[in-house]
Amino acid sequence: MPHPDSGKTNRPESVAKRSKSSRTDRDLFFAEQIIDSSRSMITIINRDYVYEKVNRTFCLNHNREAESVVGRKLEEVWGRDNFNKNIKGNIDHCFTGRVVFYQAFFETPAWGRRYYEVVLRPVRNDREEVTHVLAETFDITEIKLKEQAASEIEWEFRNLESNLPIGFFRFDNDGVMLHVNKAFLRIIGVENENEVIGRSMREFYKDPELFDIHLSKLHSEGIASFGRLELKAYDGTMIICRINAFTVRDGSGNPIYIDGAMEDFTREADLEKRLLQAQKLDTIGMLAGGIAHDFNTILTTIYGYSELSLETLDKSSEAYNNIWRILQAAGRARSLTNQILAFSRHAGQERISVRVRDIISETTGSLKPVLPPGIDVIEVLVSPDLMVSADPTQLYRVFINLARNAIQAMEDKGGKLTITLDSRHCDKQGRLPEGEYALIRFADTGKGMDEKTAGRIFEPFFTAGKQGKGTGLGLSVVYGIISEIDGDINVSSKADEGTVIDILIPATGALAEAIPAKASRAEVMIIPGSDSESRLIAMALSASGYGVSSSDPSGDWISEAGRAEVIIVTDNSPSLPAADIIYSLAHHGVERPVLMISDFDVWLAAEKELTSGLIKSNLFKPASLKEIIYSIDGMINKTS
Amino acid sequence: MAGVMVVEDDPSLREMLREALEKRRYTVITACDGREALAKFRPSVIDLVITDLLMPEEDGLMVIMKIKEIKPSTKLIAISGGGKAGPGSYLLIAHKLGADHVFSKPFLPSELVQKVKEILG
Repeated sequence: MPHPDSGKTNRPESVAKRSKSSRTDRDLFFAEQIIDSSRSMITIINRDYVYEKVNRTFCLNHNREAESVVGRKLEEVWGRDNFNKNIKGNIDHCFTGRVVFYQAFFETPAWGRRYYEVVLRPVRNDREEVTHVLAETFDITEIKLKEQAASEIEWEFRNLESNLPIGFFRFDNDGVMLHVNKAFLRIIGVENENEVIGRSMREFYKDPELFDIHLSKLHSEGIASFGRLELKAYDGTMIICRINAFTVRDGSGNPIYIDGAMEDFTREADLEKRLLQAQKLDTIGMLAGGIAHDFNTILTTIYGYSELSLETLDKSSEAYNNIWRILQAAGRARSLTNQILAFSRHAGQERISVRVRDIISETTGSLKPVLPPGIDVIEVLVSPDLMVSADPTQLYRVFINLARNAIQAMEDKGGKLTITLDSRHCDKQGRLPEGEYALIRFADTGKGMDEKTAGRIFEPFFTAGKQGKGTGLGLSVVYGIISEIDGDINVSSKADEGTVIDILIPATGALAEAIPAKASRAEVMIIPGSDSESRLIAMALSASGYGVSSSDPSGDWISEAGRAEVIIVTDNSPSLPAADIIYSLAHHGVERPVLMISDFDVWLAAEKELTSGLIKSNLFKPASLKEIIYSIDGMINKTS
Repeated sequence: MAGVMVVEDDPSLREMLREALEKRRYTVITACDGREALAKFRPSVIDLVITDLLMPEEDGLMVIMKIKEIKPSTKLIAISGGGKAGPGSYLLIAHKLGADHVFSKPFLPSELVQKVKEILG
């Protein structure tokens, strides 16, 4: 800043007059032109707070003639209050010899309210005394608006950063966390970022060595993407994430830190896995169903020639016995194909309203007498009144199957099977439709399974047990039955700790009980009637509209049987062989149609050895309610 | 003696059924699919048709419908390997189309012969 030539006058009339005497008028003219054409407002103020000079921009902006301002006090021009409050202090400060900066809003008639930056510079005379203040006022409204917009954008970005489901993070070259957003904390499962900052990202990797590989890849390649990464949440649970990250470098290309984004795919990965599993099971089911169909055709030929041969042979001959064994083996094959068909068939089950706890108590009731020592079965009925729509005979089959598996898993060391009935709400995000479900949990303390085994147990022919124990079809049938009633099964297991199997079935509530019973269809008698399976069949038939009575063959059972329209004979009781019951009925001349529900061997013996034709229909265990109803109705239509 | 037609695409099963029925002195005509069955069907000779349901060419359900058209008094037994009889199954449809009895494979020849005897009276 040039010093004004104020030695003689001490009151420069214009900035231009500060020039040395050697300057020409032309120099002064140019200086005045430059000052007047500046986009800033420039004024010179003396120690009496009087304007001594103003440039043209000032006059234009304030819509005033220079004469109306020059020679007047600032407090007259801007008002006393405003002067004392906002202006005087800054000017006084400048008179102490300092350059003063400040920003303020000014109203000008030409531009309205604008934002300005004011620079006050001390003007000195030859003796270095501050005689005047040169005030230069820049319009910074545009810059201010841009700053404001930038800060709004930043605010929006911060808002987005903390609300997006994407976790952002920054860690240093060693992996130590420097910054994370809220989503990162949510994904990892902590409340406060202090629990993450300062720790290494390596700690969140399920496989920490993989982090070292990722870090060196980021350093060498600059940017990298890691999909389906297994991370550990704060509580140790596994989460599946996708990470995209890049290395930020300084001007010389040295890495400073790594920025990245992390997305949680745990739920999607889980759903995808389960969907794939379901598709796989469907495909296996279709394949197995097709094979079972052809296999049944072949079995019919085996049955046929075996039986035709038996007719020509002496019962005491070796050939007769051998062929009888072929027939029995074919019977086992038949039961296998039936199970495969049960897994693959989607013909639908006959569904009635079932109180789940009844099925649980029939299950535990039938297991308790045959429990190996050291194994306990406990019922925990948290929601004892839950109802579901299902075939009780099928549900029983599911429960028995799961319970037997659990018991088998505890055979070596003993343990406890806890069957829990509870309610569960499923939200929209799951695989099942939103709603209330009955949760039936089979938790054992047996030997458990590894993850790989647990993922395959519903596949047909897969068996986790010892070779030769069972067909490996049990759990695939369980899966088939539960999927058909819109339910789902989850397995979680840890080797040596036990297995938990959760079944979810849509709850129908107690309302279902209010549905009026269907019109009576027929009077049915079940013999014997005291075992679990018979009781379930009786319950199911009764709920389906049949008049049901059951009896063990004692007392007046023959005349009771005579009054029934259909007699169901089962081989569930070891002390009452089905063949004996059939024999008694035939012996007493009861001509009611008999539906026999039995194992193949028992039926074969009764059919071949007793009066042929007495058994009008037969089903092999386990028979579904649908099959039973179909058989009963078929027999009644025929007899009527 | 009554005439029985066996419609079955599996040759060994077809032969077995023929033997079982011929043993009981039925006149047996066999066909390997629905098309052959309809070509060989003689209303004056055949009293009962035993038909498999899932076959190449014309399937068993078509056989049941066409035979019921040609000679409504023909008795019909449907056999199938696709599971036990139950609503929604082929056997139930066969039953609804007019089959007098349905058998799910595997079954014993004595069961079948007993039923044939019953149906033909």
